[in-house]
Amino acid sequence: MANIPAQRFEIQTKLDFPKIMRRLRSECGPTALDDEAELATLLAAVNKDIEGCNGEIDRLRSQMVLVSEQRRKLDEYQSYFGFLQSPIRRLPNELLLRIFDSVCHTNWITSKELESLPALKLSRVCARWRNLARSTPELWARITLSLDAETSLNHFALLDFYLTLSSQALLTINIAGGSAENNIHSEICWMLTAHSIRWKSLLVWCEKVFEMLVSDKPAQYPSLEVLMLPFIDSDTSAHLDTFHDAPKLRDIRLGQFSQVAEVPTKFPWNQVTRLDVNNYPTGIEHLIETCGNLLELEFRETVPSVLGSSSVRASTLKGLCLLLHCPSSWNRRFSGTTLAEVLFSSWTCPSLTSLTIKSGERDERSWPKASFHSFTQRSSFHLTTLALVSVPISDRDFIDALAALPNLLELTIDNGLAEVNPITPLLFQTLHAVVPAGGDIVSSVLVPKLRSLRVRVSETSTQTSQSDRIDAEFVEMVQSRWHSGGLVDVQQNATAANAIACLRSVVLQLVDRKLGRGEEEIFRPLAALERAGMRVAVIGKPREPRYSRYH
Amino acid sequence: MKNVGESDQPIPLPNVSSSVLKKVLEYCEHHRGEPLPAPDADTSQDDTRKRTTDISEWDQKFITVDQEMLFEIILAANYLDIKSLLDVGCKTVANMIKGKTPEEIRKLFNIVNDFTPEEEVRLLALPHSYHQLILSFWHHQAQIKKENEWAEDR
Repeated sequence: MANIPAQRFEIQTKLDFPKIMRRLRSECGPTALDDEAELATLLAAVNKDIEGCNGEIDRLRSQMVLVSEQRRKLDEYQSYFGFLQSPIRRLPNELLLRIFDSVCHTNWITSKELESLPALKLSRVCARWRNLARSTPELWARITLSLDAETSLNHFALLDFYLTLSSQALLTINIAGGSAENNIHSEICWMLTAHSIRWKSLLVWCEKVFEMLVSDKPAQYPSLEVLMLPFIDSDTSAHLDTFHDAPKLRDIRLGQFSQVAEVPTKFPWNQVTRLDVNNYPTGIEHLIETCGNLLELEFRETVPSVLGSSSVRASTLKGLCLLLHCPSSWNRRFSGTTLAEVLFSSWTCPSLTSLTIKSGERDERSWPKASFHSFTQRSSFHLTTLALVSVPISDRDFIDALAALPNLLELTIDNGLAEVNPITPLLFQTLHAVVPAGGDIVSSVLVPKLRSLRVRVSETSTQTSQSDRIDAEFVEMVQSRWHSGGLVDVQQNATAANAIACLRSVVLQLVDRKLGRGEEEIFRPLAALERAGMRVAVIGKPREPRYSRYH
Repeated sequence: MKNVGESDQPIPLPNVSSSVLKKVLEYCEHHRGEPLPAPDADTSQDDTRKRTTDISEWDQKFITVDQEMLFEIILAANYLDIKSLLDVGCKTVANMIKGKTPEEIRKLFNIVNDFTPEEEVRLLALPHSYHQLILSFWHHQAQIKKENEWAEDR
């Protein structure tokens, strides 16, 4: 900082106010003009001093501006030191990139908000972040476009920018919309098609966009692994033949098939290991037969299910997920067959290890107990993971189902929106490691190999009155399964096959209850188990959010 | 730590302070017995289904710490090769970044805008000239029109 030499400024006029007041009050009339020359001299001196003062004020003002500017620079300089000490600077590039990867889930090219373009946003924070983001093509390779009437040339240019920075990285493309007439849509598709050898994952919601994407180029998709075309139905399934030359394609999601009479022949079905379809079409057995290497299958119930007669054998299937959906209009109009019943009554899955059933809406259809039993017997699988979410199943039917699954290692039960609720004191009594003498429900320990249990309880009216008993039975059951770990079920032949495994992980989530002193008391024994090595989490209804200083 | 083998000798951890180590141990105690992530978990990052910033409730509570501690935990998890903790830490920072403008991110992490004036100008520039792009757009459109007319004439 350059010091400005301090100039001493002093006024020369002697300010004698009492004297001038006296003169003001006494010197009036013609005689007062006698001293006119003296007054003029005094006034000139005062004016000179005023000018001097104004000059001094200007000088001080400019000095203030200068000092303020220097202060601003010092603040900026200080903030640079703050940045040098900032904790995030300690992260090496590899960790910062890991964070960037989580931030850049997708880049919404057609959005007007910079926040929806995370790769671009990150590159505008500071020089280091910019260099890092720009030198990581993967961050720019995840693209979402919503093609509508507002899609403009700006979006076209932005897409070009992203595709250029994505360099040779494989592309994840998600295109929504596209039914509106707009020349720019076809140009955008043309630009994406030019990069089709880099497509790794493609999700297209509109048939018209799909046609624009695949019409121009010879159909070769050497990098394509995931294909999601929810618009594909029985009438449009021929589109799939476009992907006959996609050697890495493993995972496909299709739309609503009413019938799979003849699946497209050129499509590489034999490569597919994961299939996601929107409902249970007639003729599915052909599709399953054609997919000779299918490992995972997900069905979404979008139309009422109808019991079919043809049997299906899915020899390679390891994971099955059923997303049940039953709007109230269906409950009234249809007999109540669930997709689960349709499938359990006709399928055989000898390799199945994981079964997930989720019900989206309040479903009044009953659990297909008999079909499930015949499914387990027919398949003779070794199911190790079961998850039921919002499925209307009674405690006794659930216990009955568990009795047929002796190899279960992981169990998730969430009563969610279901009217019929399996989470009762009886369920936890029956899951106890020691079968109560004279019990009429089970004769041996249920799911003896269970290692992980996750229970999510939404309280129904009946449950509120039983919540204390449910809590107590849950705690007792968990204690028994921890302490009995490694023991042999003495009520059966003492072989290693029926040894009771030690329950290692328990999560209980009480959706509608806050954890108070009462609950703390009830769940205290679980805290002791946690100290002994079990993973225990009892989660109550969240309290009002607390904001830590960085949120 | 598998290379250390069984030994009574203390293992030096010069990069991890005792308060951070305490937190790391708390995490490990809680997750004891859980299966380790698959060795290829990192390489499957492109799978959109796996790229989520969801954090379990317990982990969220655990990681609600000040920034100093948060970044120390991330560094310690990286140094000690605890993948799941590293994942929780990085996801937490990612969640802090999401939905914020560059200016808000700078304020949050005490980052200074250190772009030179030239870089500031270049931030707005696109790699291809916009003019060139528009020309190529209209050229392509004209070509399509010509082809359509030709097809109609035929």
